[in-house]
Amino acid sequence: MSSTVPDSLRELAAGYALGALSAEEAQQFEAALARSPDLAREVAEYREVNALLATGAGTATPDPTLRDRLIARIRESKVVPLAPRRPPIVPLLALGLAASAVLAAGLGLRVRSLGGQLRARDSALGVRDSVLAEREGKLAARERTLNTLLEAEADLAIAHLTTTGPNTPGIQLFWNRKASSAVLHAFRLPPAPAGRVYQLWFMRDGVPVPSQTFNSDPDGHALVQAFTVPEGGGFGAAAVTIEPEGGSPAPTTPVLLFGAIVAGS
Amino acid sequence: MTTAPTATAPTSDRALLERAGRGDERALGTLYDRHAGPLHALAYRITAERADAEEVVLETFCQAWREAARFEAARGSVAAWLTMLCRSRALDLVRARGRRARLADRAAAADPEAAPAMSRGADDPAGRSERLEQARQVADALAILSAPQRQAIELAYYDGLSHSEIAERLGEPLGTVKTRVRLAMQKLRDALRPYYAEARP
Repeated sequence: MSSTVPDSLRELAAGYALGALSAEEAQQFEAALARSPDLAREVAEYREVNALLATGAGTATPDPTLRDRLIARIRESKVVPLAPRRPPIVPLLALGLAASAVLAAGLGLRVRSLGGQLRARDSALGVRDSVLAEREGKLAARERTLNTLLEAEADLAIAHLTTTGPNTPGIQLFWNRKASSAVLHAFRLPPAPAGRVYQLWFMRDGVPVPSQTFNSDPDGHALVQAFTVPEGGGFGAAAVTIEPEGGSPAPTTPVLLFGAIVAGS
Repeated sequence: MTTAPTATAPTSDRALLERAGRGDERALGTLYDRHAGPLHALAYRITAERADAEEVVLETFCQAWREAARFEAARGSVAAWLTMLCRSRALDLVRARGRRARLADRAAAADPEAAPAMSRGADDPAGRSERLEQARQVADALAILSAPQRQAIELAYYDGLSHSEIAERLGEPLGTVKTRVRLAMQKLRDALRPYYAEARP
């Protein structure tokens, strides 16, 4: 009905909802999607179709203990250590990019060695056992992370989010632009205060687009594995703020860490 | 999804998700009871492994728990959102596992319907009969499709293949495959609209 969307794009709606478009088509479609509520409605309908198709997927039922495992897992993920130290809030910083080329080269090596580890682990895991289900799940998450890094090839973009001073927290962000997937690794980052979390923002023309919330462990480490990057692309930088649990649609506190996104080699 | 005639109207999925977003575990549990069945069946159909399917379902609900605030009702139902999260996790996992390993798994678990029913699952009897009813509606809708259309949809939906991968697999022109997928999805949409329309706010 909208006259602004050409038929050639409109015809991609079903393929988009299925995830069957090429990367290029998906990008074009998403650009049109952001401007056309009509198109968004069409995609939403196909997603309802997808949901109904799931009911036709078979009659396999989950193990009765799965519900308890879910509740246990969300409780586990909510644990915030007692009396965490509130990290210093620093004003938004411009990032020196001199180090980024060195960083990118170093990461190339690291990604290759991770690949070797993955292959070694795969062969060691030749025989699977249902007793290993829990570990397999963790391994699968790790594999998704590695795939995000390994399969990006030239489409890997990297940001190093920092503040000033020695021994300050840092965040490495790896973005597989081909797969719209990213991995975040934080270090020396004190756990957020009770009831608060860290939130990652992708910056487009200075406007923060909300992404993952996360928290660090008492050692100051956090690893957010293979999460989906917000739609639309065009991100030039990334930032992190402290937000209420559940995250915010726009930052409510000053930027804590910031870094430009650098395209891979 | 539930419109069972009961004395008190059931809490909507949206309201439950909102409560889960504020830390209400029971609300998340209720969402699980309503949706875990079909999501698990989908994850199992895609991953062909019970442990993987269960991990996918766990992670889907954990993500819903963490990101409840990000759910946009304007973009569709909670069921559609959960399905999208679940399907992309399951497909990610299978891609990570590698195609070769997966083909072997599939051969071993060729018939998901024949898999041993390990449990009665979380569904209450009313939920289960509703699920069977929906499965029948979906089967009816799929029966409208031509065999090539159904095949193309299955390759896209369960195997996560792109248009060009489907074309390659079937040895057919890309344009033909694109049209086939589009027409098949349109037919499904038209046939299933009465069922998802009632789930919409």
